[in-house]
Amino acid sequence: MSLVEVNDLGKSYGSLAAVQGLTFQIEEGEVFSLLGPNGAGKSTTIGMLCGLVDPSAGDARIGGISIRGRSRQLRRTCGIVPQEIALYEELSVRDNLVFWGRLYGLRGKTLGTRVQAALSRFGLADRATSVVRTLSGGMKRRLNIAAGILHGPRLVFMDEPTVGIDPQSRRAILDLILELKAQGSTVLYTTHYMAEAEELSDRVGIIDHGRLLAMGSCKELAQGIGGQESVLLQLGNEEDGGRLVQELEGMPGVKAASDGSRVTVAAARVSQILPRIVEAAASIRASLRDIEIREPNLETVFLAYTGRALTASGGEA
Amino acid sequence: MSVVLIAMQELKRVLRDPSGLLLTLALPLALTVAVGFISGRVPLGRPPSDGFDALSYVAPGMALFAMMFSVRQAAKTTVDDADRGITRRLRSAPIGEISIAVGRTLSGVVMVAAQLLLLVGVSSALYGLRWGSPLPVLLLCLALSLSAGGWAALLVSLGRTSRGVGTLGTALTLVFAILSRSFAAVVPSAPWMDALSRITPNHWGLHGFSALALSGTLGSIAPDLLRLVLMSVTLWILAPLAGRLMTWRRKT
Repeated sequence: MSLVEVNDLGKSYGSLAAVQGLTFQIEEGEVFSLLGPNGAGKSTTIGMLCGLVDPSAGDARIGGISIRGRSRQLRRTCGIVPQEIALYEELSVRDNLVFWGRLYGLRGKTLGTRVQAALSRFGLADRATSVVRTLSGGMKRRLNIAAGILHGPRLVFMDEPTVGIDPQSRRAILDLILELKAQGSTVLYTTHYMAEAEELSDRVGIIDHGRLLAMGSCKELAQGIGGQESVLLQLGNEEDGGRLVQELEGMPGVKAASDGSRVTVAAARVSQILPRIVEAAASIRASLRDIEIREPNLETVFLAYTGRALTASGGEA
Repeated sequence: MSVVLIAMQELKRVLRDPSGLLLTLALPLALTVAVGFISGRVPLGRPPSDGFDALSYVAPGMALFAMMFSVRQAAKTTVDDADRGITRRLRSAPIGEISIAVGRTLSGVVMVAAQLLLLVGVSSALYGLRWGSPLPVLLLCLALSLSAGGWAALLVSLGRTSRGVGTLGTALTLVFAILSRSFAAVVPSAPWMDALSRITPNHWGLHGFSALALSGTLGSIAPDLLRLVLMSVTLWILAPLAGRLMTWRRKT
């Protein structure tokens, strides 16, 4: 039996359907990522699974327990790493860990050992007595994760834990998640960074406008779009990106999206239509700085399913 | 158990926050000392045996003014916690939602009661101020802190954002102090002001403290205690309704 079973889950706010007809399973020990732009319904999904948001439709079971009961046993099974730095800024690193540990029922020696282990594992041992507000952004992110997994949950929800941090701290966090994965933890990870989803996940679900559009391993998803390839064009001017996309829109079987001066084009056998792409760029007098043909990846998959590219800020292009 | 855990955590936060401590404890203490100095009282000196003692009226007014600042501070912290995702994280933990609300309120009640009692203690020790019998004073402080909890809940519902709560809280603190004449008992006020001041905890607090200072008993302040507890209950009922009204107004 799967650890997480989501069946036709939905959430509406009045006439707005934030999530609809969501159905997926997560196996024990699996890292499953929900990939989608801001407002796609990722956080609402996590909110429902954590019991923070009441579903409007459907149900989900975690370890066989329905999320609708808001059971304490279910919440003890889960650990949540929220998008925000949800920590007490005026208290020390250790005080924060002790508090969250106690809230999940840890006491005495077990609590002390777990806190000490977390401080060492997350590289915070020498800052244990520091007040949280004096920590760097990356350290706060690490502490945010440590507080979420201190009690040793069977399932960890991570809601965009690398948003707004420097590359070095992001790398450290990704390594921590890979370590969790190696230890057999089950993780539901949400992100709008395709590289992260590709690196961390056993399976990825592509979510947009509250609907799960596709799901599978990165390889399966790439196969699912019929061997499409992508070509990445780097233009000289940001304004040319949108104009080139307009030019390419008329070509049959071609999907294109721009993120400033960067244009992604997806099509079957893209190498064969490359001359026409270059011609289109020349026709609008766009200066081409670089062309790169890529193997099918999540970027191609996302473009193929949504008709849009996912930008670095989590928006759509 | 989780109620105590949350209440302790909240108290710890207040004690580790220098600006909060300054506003809730140090400022009213400093003001009391300053008013004592201005009114010609010498610390540890003899209290005046007859005539009007300005400090005996101003000190309770100051205490209630400081209490309303604490209400503002507590409401602001609640909204800030919601913005920073702390409330969401607490709600995802294996504890009841009521435990979170009760824990937070309990810490606020303890904090306000401690603040009032500290002012009572310091002004008694420094200036020999007569507050009345200890038990009724303690009960009045507790009733006042309960009503403060109710006002904090209403402030959260009406203010909604950190800025909104801050502005509304400051306005409420000043308006309540003016309406109840916390600092100027001898200045006559309009009848409508007197009538309106009855919705403030400051009014009933001052009423109770004055009665106790004039050798009042627990029986003589019982109506004040009852009004403060009723005020607290009413505000706790009104707060969620006000929250819904504000959400509806924002949507429309």
